[in-house]
Amino acid sequence: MNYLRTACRLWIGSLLLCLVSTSPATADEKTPGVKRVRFYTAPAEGGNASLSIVPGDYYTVGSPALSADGEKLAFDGRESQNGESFQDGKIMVVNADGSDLEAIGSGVMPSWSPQGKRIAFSQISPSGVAMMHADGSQRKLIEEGGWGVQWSPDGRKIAYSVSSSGKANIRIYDLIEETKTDLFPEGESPYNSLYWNMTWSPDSNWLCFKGHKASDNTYDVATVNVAGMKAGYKVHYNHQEAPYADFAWHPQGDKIVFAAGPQPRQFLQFNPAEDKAPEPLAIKVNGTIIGDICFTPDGQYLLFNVSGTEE
Amino acid sequence: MKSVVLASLCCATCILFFNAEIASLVADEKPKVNRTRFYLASPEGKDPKVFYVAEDYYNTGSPSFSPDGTKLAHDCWKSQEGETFSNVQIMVANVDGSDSKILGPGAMPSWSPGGNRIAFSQPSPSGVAVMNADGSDRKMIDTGGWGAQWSPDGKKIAYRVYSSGKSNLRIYDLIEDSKSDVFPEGESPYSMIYWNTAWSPDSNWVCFLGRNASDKMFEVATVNVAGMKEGYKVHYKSKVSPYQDMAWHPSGEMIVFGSDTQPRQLLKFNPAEDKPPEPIEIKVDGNINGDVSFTPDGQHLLFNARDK
Repeated sequence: MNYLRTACRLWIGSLLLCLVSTSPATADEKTPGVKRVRFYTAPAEGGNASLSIVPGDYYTVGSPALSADGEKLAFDGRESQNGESFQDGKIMVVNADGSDLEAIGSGVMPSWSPQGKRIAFSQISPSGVAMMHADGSQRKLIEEGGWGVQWSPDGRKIAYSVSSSGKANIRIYDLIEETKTDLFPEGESPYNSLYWNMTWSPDSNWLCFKGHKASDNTYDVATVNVAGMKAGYKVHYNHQEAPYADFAWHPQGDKIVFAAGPQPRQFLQFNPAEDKAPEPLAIKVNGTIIGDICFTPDGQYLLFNVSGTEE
Repeated sequence: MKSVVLASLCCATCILFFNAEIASLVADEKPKVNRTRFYLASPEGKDPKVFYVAEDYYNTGSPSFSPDGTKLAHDCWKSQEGETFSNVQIMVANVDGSDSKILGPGAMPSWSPGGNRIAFSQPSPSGVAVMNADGSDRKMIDTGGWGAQWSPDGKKIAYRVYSSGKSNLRIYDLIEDSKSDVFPEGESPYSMIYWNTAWSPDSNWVCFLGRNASDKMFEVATVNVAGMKEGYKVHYKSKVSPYQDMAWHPSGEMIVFGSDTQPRQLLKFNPAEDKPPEPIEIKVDGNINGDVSFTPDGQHLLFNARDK
């Protein structure tokens, strides 16, 4: 009987040891005080943030995108602590509980197809917008020179920025019709630079983006109809200082969140249907908000990246 | 004054001659040739009229209106010159009969919702493929597939495949780049599923003709594209094969197909009801072939008939 009891204790002990030794891979318990980037979540209306995902050995991470079923998080990451730079950026996929972290290939700014079977992304070299299956296979370049691709919620379209003759434009690629259209008529784009990590409206009819205007050297946060600027175009925020280039559109459609201001950045929110200036979204977090952001598919939470030591 | 009258007469003669030429191009007035012609009637079969003839292509079938109703695609070959199905081509014309063009080899065209692309069956090498609506950029989707039909929402293409000695309906998802079969492996009741299936307007169902492997009977059935376990219903059974072309009315309440009788009739049924298909009374000076398509507004039924 004593022998049995000892065996049980040994078994439970080894089980606990096993659990403790596997947890650092997903929860980063190995080096809790290290300065790095982590993902946090906070209620959509603001409040206290809590640590969500610590992406293993990838100390610099950004562009988070949750799959439509909320089960997986894709983002870009690199081992900056080992000297990796933007050129080494990889598309990462991890379960929403932090398990099964995997680098599925070179690239940045992933965006899921509606069923989560494919990912659109920006390819670093050769530079362009591309898509691949969610396991990293079947990589296919859509357009060389395009950048910052985002998949529409209805799955029919992807949007990305292109530049020609010193002007920037947003191009819509229709996956069903295999057509490409630009939202600003040729020569009429007010922007010499359009940034990455745009966001689609939940009805797949609008895009929110950040653009730099050559005319007055200021930055706009604007929305444009995907049928073209003549079908709808509105500037919601204009500033001499560049806001951060990542936007999250709430699944209900009445709120867009982005980061702006001097370090530490603050999140701002606005309703694109109203003519009010963006207002601060108060979030308490240990660390410095970077500005990469997305909503959970149910709209309950914001997920964003923070640089700090988590102490 | 005399010269004015003379000039007017000349002019009138020229106009008459010119109009006669145009009419012969679009309405094929060549007397008594044996060929197929497309007719248009009301969905109830009233007022059938010759709608379109494909000039030198005496054998035409698989009509499909572009979703905006401005163009008609169909397949065709010059049967009067001895051509057979192996010579089949895809033709597109404006619905007023003008600007007809051969897009290239292929059969059973099916439009994308925006009318920019066409899915079709390629005889050689055999398979289902897509191309731009001008015939460019042909791309194979599945070798061995047959009878591709584009869903009304554009996201999917359905076609027939064979595996393990059974016939199945495969759904290709253009957005996810994934393929799924509606009958689980080994559970398809069909030794043969035919071409020219029809999608429901909501893109959730497909109506098809199949031959049951166990009793050799032919069945007209509908199946949910999420898989037979989501919905599968046999609407019609026959020892003799009905014609293999289905048209689903845009309202969703009527499916039309060609009967297994000779001369052929068009039959209709409501897939939501449990009533057997009923004949559509159509009086036309020809033998109904069985290729059918509704106009996108649902106001008319297009079908082909061969001269008696």
